Amino acid sequence: MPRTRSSKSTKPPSNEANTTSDTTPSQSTSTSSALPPSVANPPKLFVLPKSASHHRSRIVTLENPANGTPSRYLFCPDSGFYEFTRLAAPKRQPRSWLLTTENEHNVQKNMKEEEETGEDEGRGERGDGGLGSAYITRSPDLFVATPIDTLFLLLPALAPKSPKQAKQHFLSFDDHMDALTSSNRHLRALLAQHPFLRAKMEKRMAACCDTVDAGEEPMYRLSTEKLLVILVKKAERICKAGFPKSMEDQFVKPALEMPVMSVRREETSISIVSTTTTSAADEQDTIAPIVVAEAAESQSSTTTTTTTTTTTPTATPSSDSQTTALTTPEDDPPPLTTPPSIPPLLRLRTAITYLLNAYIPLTLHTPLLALLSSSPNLPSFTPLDTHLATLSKLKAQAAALRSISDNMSRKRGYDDDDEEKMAEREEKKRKREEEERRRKSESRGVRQLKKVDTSGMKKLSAFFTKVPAKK
Amino acid sequence: MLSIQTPSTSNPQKYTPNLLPARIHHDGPINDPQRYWTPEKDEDGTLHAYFRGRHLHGTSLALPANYTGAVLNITDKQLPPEPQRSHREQSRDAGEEEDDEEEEEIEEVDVRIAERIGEFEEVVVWGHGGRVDEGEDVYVRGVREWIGFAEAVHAEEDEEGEEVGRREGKGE
Repeated sequence: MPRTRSSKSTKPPSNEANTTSDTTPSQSTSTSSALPPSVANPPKLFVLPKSASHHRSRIVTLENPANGTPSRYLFCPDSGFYEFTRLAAPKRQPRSWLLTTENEHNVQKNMKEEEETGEDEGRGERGDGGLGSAYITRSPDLFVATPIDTLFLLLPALAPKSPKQAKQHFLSFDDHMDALTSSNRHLRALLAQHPFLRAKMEKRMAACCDTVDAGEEPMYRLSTEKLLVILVKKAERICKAGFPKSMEDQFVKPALEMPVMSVRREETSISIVSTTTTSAADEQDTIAPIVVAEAAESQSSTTTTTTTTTTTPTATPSSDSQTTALTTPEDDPPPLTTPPSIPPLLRLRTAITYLLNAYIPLTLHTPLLALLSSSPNLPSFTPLDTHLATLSKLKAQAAALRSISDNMSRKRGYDDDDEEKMAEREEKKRKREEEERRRKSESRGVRQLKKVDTSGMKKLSAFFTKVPAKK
Repeated sequence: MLSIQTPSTSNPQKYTPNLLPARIHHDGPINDPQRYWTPEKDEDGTLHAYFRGRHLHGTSLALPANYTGAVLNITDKQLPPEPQRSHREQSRDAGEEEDDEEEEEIEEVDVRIAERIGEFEEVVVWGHGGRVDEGEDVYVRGVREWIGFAEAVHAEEDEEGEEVGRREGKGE
C-alpha cells in the first residue's frame, strides 16, 4: 500500500496510533525509512536460570572436561556452575532472530519516561547499543545455560594424562587444584574471590575419589569405581525423569527395531507357472513386510528350491509354510518381541554413553567401560547384549536374504540403489540432450566445414607467427 | 570473564524473540516492525504471520519456570573492581598470607560487562508453510528436552554430596 512518509502523523495504523508520542527521538527514527547500518557486535540471546542471572554471576572460560577445549561456563556464587549449550540451526536451515516487543506502546512509554526524567545516559545507551522496538540478529544462536556438576569440571585434573599412566598418586586437594588452575586463569580468579567454592569443590572431589589421611590433610586419588557409581546414578536419574523423546527416537527405537524380512516369494516359479507376473507382484506386496524368524529358515530352504528351477509341487508347500508363519505372529520365539526389561537397559546405557562422551575425559573411557561390564553391584547389561546380538544376527540374515532375492528376482535394486541409478540415468540423458541441442544449433556452414579435410593445410595460427628472417 | 549487569538507568525491555525461517543479513535495530510483522494467534495456539507474502506458522515455546531469557550485549567495558577490592580487604582482615595476596593480584582477570538489555520468557519458532516439526527442530528440543535433561543429570549435586559426606563421616 502506498504511504507517504512526509509527515510524522502518517504512522502505520496500529494499536498505539492514538498515542501522540511523536516528539521522542526514537519515534523520529522509526518513521524514517532508512535502515540503520548493521551493528558490528550484535547482542546475543541467552536462556539463564533465574537463580543465577544476577550481577554477581560470571561467565567464565574453563577447560571442557571431555575434550579439553576452552568452553564457556556460567558461574553463580550461590548455585555453582552452569554450562552453555549453543542452539544453532543447521546450515541447510537458514534462520535469524527477530526480536519484537510485545507492545509498542510500552516502548514508547518507556522512552517517554526516560525523556521526561531526562536520563540522557540511558537514552544514549539505547541509541547506540539498545534494541529499540525491533531488532534483527543474523546469527540464530541461542545459548542455554544448564547446571553442570562441579565434579565434571574437576576431572581434567584427576584423570590420568595418558592412558598408559596406570597408577595415579594420592595428592592433596591443593595440589589437584594447582594442576587444574594452572591452565584455567578464570577458575583461579573465581577461587580467589569465593573461598567457599574451594570447600564445595573439595566435597565433590571427595565424592569421586579414594581418600587417604596423611597428617591433617586428606589426600585424593580418582576412584573409577566411585565415579562409575555416580555416573550410573545420574543415568538412572535421566531415565527416571523421563528419557528425552528425541533420544528415544534416535537411539533406542532403531536399535531395537526388528529387521523387516520381506518374505520372499517364489516369483520365478510362479511366473513360470502362471506367467501373470502382475498378480505375483501384488501378492508379494501384501505379504512383504512381515517379521518372522521361522520364515528365515523356511526362506533358506525355499531359496535352494528356487535355485534348482522349481516346479509347482515344491513351490506350494513353501508358500504354505509362509502362510502359517503369517497367521501365527503372536507365538513368535522370544528374540522377536522385545522383552520389557530391554528398553530400560538400553536407555540406561545410552544415558551412560552420553555422559561419557559429554563430560568424561577420553583417558577414562576404557577403564570405566571395563568396570561397567564387570562390576557386580551395577545393573547388568548382559541380557541387553545378548538381545542386541540376536537382533544383529537377524538383521544380517535379513540383509543376506534380501541380496539373494535381489539377485534372483528383482530387476532393480532396492530404493536407494534405485534412486542412485535413476540419477545416473537422468544425468546421461541430460548430457545426451545437451549434445544434441548443441549439434542442432550449429549452422549449416559450420557443419559442412567440419567435413573438410584439413590435414594438408596450415594451421590458422601459423600465419601469425613471426616470419623467419629472409635471407 | 564476563559479568552480567543490568543497566542501572533503565529496566531491560521485554522482547519476544522470533526465530524466522530465513536468514537476514543484518544485525541491528529495524524500523516500523508493525508494518510487516503482525503475528496473530488462532484458536488452537498457533501463531500466524505473513512475512513478505509468505505464510509463517509460529510455535510458541515458553521457557521453563525457573529460567529466564536474556539479551546480552557483550561490551568492552571493564567492571569497576570495587567488589573484589572489598573482598580482598576482608580476606586480608582474615589474615591470609601476604605473598598469596600478591599472586592473586597478578592473576586478576579483567571482567567485562555483559549488559542485559532485554529479557524474554518465551520464544516463537516460525516455520514456513506449516509449524516446525517439534520432534525435529533443534530449538524446540533444546528448550523442551535439554533443560530438563540437564537438570536431571546435574541438579541433585548437593544432596548427593551431603550423602557421601555423611557416609564418610560414619566410616570414620
